[in-house]
Amino acid sequence: MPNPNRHTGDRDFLSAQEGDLVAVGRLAEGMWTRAWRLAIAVGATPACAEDAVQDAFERAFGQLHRFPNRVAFTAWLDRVVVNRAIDISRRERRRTVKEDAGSRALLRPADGAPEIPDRELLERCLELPDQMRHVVALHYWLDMSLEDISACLGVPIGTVRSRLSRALGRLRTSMGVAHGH
Amino acid sequence: MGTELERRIRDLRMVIPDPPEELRSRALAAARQASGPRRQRLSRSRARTVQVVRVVLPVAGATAIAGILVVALPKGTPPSPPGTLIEALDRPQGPKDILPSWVAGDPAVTGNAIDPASTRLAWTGFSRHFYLASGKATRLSDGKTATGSPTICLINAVTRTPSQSFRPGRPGWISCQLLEVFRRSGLPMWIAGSRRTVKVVGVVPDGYTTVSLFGRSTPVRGNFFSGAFPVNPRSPGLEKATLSGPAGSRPLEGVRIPARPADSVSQAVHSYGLQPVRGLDRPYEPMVVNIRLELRRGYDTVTIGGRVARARGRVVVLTAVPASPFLPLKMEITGPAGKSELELDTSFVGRSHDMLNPYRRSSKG
Repeated sequence: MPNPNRHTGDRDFLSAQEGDLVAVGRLAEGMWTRAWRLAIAVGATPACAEDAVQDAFERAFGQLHRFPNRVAFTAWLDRVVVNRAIDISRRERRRTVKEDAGSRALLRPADGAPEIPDRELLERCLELPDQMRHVVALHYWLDMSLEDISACLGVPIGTVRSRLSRALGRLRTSMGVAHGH
Repeated sequence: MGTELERRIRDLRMVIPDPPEELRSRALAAARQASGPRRQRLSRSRARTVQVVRVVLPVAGATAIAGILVVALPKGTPPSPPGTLIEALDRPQGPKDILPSWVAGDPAVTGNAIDPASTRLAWTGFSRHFYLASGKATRLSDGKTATGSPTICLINAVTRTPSQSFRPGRPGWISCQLLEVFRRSGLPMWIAGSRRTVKVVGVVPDGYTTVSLFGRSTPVRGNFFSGAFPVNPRSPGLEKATLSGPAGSRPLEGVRIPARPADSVSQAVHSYGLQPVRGLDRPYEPMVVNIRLELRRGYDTVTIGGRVARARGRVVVLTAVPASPFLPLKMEITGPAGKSELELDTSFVGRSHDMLNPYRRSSKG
């Protein structure tokens, strides 16, 4: 069976598997930004997202040698990041007051950041139940396919599809009601 | 509306903020560190020896650049998980081990990347809870140490909530030490006390059962010790604690305890970096420390290396004080009550941070 890494030209992955720390660094370099976005997308505060990314990198890169190629490793890393972000956020939510919940932080853009274009819709998205919100964020904000989301969240693809469908239904309803007023 | 709605949802992706640049170094350090054990396993194979050399050479180069600070660290001892040095952290976490929310959310705690699942209540006394925890180095405290390196931390917090505390401005503080340094030096201790006693707490590695100080011994329980030692008015000098137990006997390095701290200073905290420490949040510079002292009545002036600072109220804050990782920082405290000397350990790998008082903070806001 051909090695997919050769076709993709990804020598960094192979070198990283062999213990080349420079290659490990290059591999991680290409992944940390996406990991951050994943963590934020599933509702982590920036502080929680940082912890989730760091934890996930420790865990995933410790298992680097077990993966046949970069694609499989990236999928696993996504899953670890998302799970860690959800775990840490849940724990944090139990400790802090409700108004500080991670996803609400998105409603408070940083200084200098552009204004939120569709604040009402964002608020409706953030009000969705966690399971629906995760699917919406991963699909529309991270451009993940339903198959990838299924693997990332560890749920059947039919479940992902139905969560997305129900989320869109709720958003249509709530936005329609809101506009009706 | 479905397609239009989906387009609008997609447009919302811009609300995801850019990641902080600091995360990059943390993530890369975590990845490299996690790859370490694999590197060791590969070294057993002759066929992969060349690969190991390729890895070791850049590390050796970086070590040479790092200079004497790195030379001082134990050679050839890769970082160990906390459990191998702190048995107390290995026991299951119970309800009492969980940090109160006002402590867990404090910038001094989050800034040291404390793992909430690692906290263990070590002792309650001196009107405070003392917790052990493992964390991650989040700042280049010595200018060279990789962020993400494991640390051991001692957190103390008043037993009552800060709103009830009689000292609302200083509900607690946290001190962290790199794990590899902790192995040989223990964790810096709390220095405070009344006019008649010096109160000391500290964390020691596994294998030590007794700490001797001021001619007295106090037992180590769960890697933690505490004691209120009588002040010797005839002893103007400093004391060093000695550890003893099955692991042998050695001085507990990293801190010197003034024999009479109660004379002039009730508490001293020093800090490095951009940590959100009230009054100390100045930009990081190598080889300097920021210090906050709370003076006792009758003392109002602190002199360090010719630099003189007057107290506001009872608090003196000095920023960017030149310091050495090898020599304690000597200071003179004067006032109508007389003259006193204090030495602060400024080991560049240990850090102490004040906690903020959420109640006071919110009232300001």
